[in-house]
Amino acid sequence: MGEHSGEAVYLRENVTYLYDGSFEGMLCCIFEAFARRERPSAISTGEARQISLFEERWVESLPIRANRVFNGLTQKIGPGAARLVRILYLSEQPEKELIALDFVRRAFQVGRGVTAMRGDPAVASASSSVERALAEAHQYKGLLRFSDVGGVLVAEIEPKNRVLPLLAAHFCGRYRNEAFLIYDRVHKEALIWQDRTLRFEAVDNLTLPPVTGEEQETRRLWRQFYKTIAIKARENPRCRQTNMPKRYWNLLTEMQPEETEMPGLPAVR
Amino acid sequence: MELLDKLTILTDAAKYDVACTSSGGGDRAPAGAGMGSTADCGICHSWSADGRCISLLKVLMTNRCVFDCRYCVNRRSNDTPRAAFEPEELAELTMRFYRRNYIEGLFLSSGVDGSPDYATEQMIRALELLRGRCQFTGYIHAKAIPGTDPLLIARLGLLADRLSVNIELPSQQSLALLAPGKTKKNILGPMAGIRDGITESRESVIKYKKAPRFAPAGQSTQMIVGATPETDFQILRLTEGLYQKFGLKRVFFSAYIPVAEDSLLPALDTKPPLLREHRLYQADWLLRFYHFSADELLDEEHPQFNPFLDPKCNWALNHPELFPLEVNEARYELLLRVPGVGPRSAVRIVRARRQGSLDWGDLKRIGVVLKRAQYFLLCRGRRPAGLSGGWKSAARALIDGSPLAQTEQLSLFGGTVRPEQIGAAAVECL
Repeated sequence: MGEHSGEAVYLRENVTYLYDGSFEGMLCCIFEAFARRERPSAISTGEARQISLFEERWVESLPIRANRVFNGLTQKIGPGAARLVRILYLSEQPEKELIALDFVRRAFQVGRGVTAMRGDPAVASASSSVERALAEAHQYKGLLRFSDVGGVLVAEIEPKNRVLPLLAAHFCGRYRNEAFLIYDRVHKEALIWQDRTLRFEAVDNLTLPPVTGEEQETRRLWRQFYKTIAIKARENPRCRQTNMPKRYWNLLTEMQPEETEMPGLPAVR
Repeated sequence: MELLDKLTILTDAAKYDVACTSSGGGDRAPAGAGMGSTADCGICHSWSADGRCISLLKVLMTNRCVFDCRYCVNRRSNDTPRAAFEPEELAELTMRFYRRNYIEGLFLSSGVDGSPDYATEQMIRALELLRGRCQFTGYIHAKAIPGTDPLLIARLGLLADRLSVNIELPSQQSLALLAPGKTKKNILGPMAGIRDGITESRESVIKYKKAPRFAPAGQSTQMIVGATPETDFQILRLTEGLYQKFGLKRVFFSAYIPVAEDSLLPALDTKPPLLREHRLYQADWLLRFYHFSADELLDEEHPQFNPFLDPKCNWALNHPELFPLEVNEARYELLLRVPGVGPRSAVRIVRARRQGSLDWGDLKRIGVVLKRAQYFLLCRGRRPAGLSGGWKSAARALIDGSPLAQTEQLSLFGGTVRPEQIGAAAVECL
């Protein structure tokens, strides 16, 4: 496994791809690379574009092609491999498209056993990006805080990865009879659950009305609980920070100072 | 009394209870009415200033108590403010916190107000409101109070995901000395009852799916370490016995924090033995996930843990005859015994090597901690490039570098050991 097996194939490298940034688009880039026997030096979206010395090619998002890649992966390699590529797309990993391409290429070389090859460079780099995204999603299952805004629950998050799709099943199952919204400030997307229906929407900005007295009081009770539960003789700020990194703090109710007026949600950093 | 004041008193009185885990309940999200789900791995919702995870709203129903256990803040003779939740009040507060995703559920315990039966009935009332009127389907951990009527515990177990009975102290003698209201018998009795309830319920759930579930997330217990003279070996053997005889999910340890001036207890300025607690948890992990037994880790001649090395490294360094292991051939159970290899990387190794033999680069990418594992493994018959030095240099490299270990290790030697001398001291401890 240390050395690559399989016949050496010459792949053209002096080209870069541009695509629309969608999951389908990423799969189409993979399709393109297979069809033309290329390993582009970069695959980027319009925004993240860099100056390139090579030929730049726009890769169109075509559902038929995207489906061929996705279904091929599911059927020939297994649902685990398809899921891996899907989550890799949601990750914040720079060059995730190239990592996905290298993984898919390796997958079609090896077949069903590929996801077990955790030591293989292509598999390891895809898997570890996915593991980091899943770990962040898991953190948010605990660290996300809802506020009651006129009966609707609203939470804001600032994740590195696009975790909303990874959080949907958990929160929709848990708060199945509530109406709620989770807003991702970084990727400007919202997950909305209403009348037992889930949807995602692009949202540029979220402004909320001031919170009510009940919300205010519940936050106060929670802060008091948080303060009281700590044991003085065991104080260990370093351990706390390792488990709960500072980047989460500005959206955590218990890490905010007592509110004097009645603001909406905690302010943006 | 204001809700805020009650919450403060009843949280303060509950904070020494260790368990805050919300695991073991399976991944359940009922489809119907109500609110709440459980995640089998458990979810931490915050971490308090002492670095401990907060998963559950951990409170007492009341801190009024007829018992006078000497190590306990809620003992009858302690002059401290007392309060009690109304069942409605607690159920409502739990829902308010849960709805905002502050918590994974409720951890409810109680002082013995009047009699164990009365205290348990109050807890049951609060939980019945939660499960009934509030239709709460999240996680509940309830404490079973020694001396409670088994019928009441049976009802409690149908409401809770997890039950626990505190074993309190690691021996009968210590119990007799410090907790005159409790005996080994009235602690182990309910523990056995809960075990049987869980077994019975599991069997009937297999027969028909809708059978009521009794404590589906199992049973746990906790004991105080450092208030009484038991050795690490005694504590670990007891722990192992509890897992084997009572099928416990977890045994928790709590470093004793002096809460009372008492001639039978450590002085008030005694620091909690955090390193010792840490070593016990490491060993507990080895019992549960690494197939170790207590007498492999400690014995009559070495009844205390090595302060410089974690129990697994300590064991490995004492068994040079077994190493190095060939990573491409060693059984899973043996891989688990290699420092730097955990259950996750051991599984990955076993799966990956079926696809082809592994080298050192593969191991690194798999997530093995090579800094420790390199002394104990071979890849295709080879040592890692550049590794030199014998067993003693391995011991030096494996020294526990956590700040906790360092400060406590130094103080153990009266501050006379300089950090750079720890290596030599560690080797002598083997």
